[in-house]
Amino acid sequence: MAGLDVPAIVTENLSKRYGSVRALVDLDLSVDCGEIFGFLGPNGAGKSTTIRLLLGYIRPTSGRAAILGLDTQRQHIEILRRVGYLPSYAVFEEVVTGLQALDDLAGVAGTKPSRRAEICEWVRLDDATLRRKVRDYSKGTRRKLGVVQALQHDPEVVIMDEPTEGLDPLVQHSFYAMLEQLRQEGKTIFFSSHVISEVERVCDRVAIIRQGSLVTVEHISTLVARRQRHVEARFHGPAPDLSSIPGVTNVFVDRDTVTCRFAGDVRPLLQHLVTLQVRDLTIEQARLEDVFLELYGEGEV
Amino acid sequence: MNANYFIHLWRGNLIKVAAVTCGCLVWGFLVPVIDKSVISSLQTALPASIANFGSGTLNTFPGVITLMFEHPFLVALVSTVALAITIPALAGQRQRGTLEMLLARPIRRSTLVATVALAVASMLLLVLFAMVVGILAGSSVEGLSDQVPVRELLVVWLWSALLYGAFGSFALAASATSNRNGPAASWALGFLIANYFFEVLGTFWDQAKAWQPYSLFHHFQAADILAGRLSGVDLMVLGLAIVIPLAYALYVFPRRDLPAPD
Repeated sequence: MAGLDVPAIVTENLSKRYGSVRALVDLDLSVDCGEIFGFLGPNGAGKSTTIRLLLGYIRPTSGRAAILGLDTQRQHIEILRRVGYLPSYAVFEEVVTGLQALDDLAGVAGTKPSRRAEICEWVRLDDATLRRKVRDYSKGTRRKLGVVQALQHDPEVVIMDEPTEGLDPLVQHSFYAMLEQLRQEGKTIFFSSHVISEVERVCDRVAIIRQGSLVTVEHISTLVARRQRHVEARFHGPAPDLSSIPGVTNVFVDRDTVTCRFAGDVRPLLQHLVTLQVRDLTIEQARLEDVFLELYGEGEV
Repeated sequence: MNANYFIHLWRGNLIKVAAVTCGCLVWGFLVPVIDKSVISSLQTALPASIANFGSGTLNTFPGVITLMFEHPFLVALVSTVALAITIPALAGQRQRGTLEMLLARPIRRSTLVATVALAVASMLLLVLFAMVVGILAGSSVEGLSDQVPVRELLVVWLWSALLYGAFGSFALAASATSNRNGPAASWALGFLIANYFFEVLGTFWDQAKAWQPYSLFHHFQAADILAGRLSGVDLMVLGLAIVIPLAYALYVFPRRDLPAPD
């Protein structure tokens, strides 16, 4: 296990250009040991480029990255001994069985697949399926096999690119439970996804990336709490105008109903509402999706 | 070298190698059979331009052995190993996406290249040795054993492995620099055909003889080897033809960016 004083993953001014295209611009990230870190962005935002830089598949144009204190360019073999990676498209040789594919990858790595049986159980990949040829696998089963190969050697850091793509809801549920188990064991999980609800569900912190640049890195709860919540209040009689209350914006009054956006301390709003004839009140917690869309929509960096 | 990946390459190409080995065995067996039953009866009737091909000739048994080693059929057969296994091992894996899984293991890219080179070299040695075994078996059956210089035939075997190893090495360099099978195969096949063309053209057209030394085939003079005449220059040329592309592949592949597969 890595020492707690060393971040599991760190990048400093990490940049990558392909000719005139800036795929990644001065990325500064620090992922703590034992956390599930979400890496959120739409397709083409630079998520896969970041992962490929971390794994040493591509070289940075400038900047540096380290995993478990080891430089990703100079010490990437040592890193790969301690990291598990699930690519967005995990491709296996078609003509071998799933079991053979797992054995081959473990053999090439020279590692013992000590957690294979356990991970197979988590993702519901049974022995009979493992004994079938990969060419007979469905997309979901290939994905399960990808999860197993990434975790079978019990890595300290796991990098996952769109891990639940193709998994059915039942397996997804089990997969999330497995991530929680790994977190409790102190494993670090770098979780790249464009599925916002998934990141919100499983991650401690999230980095949002847009066009190769980091938009924000925060704890999900902090990020969400800072954002505006949607408020809807119904009254006995005509609805009042709430726009004078601190934190309230976007007020819309329609007969007995008022809707508005709200940010900050909720007490002034509640204190004002108790003086009125409120029939029903809904304050929706902001979701990560709202935050994401807000950041992308407003171009806030 | 990564022993597990070496075994993986062998296992993955076992059917291909077995088929080529059988082909070479039969081809080698046919050499004395053809010499005795067909060519011996035709040689006086054949014009020199047909009796001589490359450095081989139909007029002597060693000449027939030489000719069969340079025959397009054998070239195509052995290229199945030298090119058709080498190219998919890097560019093909890259194209399919399996390389991404492999490189997520703690294996150096240079180790990967070296392992592919050693696996293909061992396969070439096997399939070409089958040719030698075939010749010896056929000679025994046809009663021509006394005409086969066994020691020199083994040198021919190793020399032919150098020749095809050179094409394999070029294919490896092409594979290491390409993201897809197609471009790598085009380069490797083009190189092989160009070499063969220069050699064969010189056989039929005197004015093209000056081009023959530029062909790697020209540096595999089986007739001379069977006669006990070894050329240090030929050995050096073939050696360099293996070492230079291999060194290039070992240098370039670990330094290449490998963006996400299409």
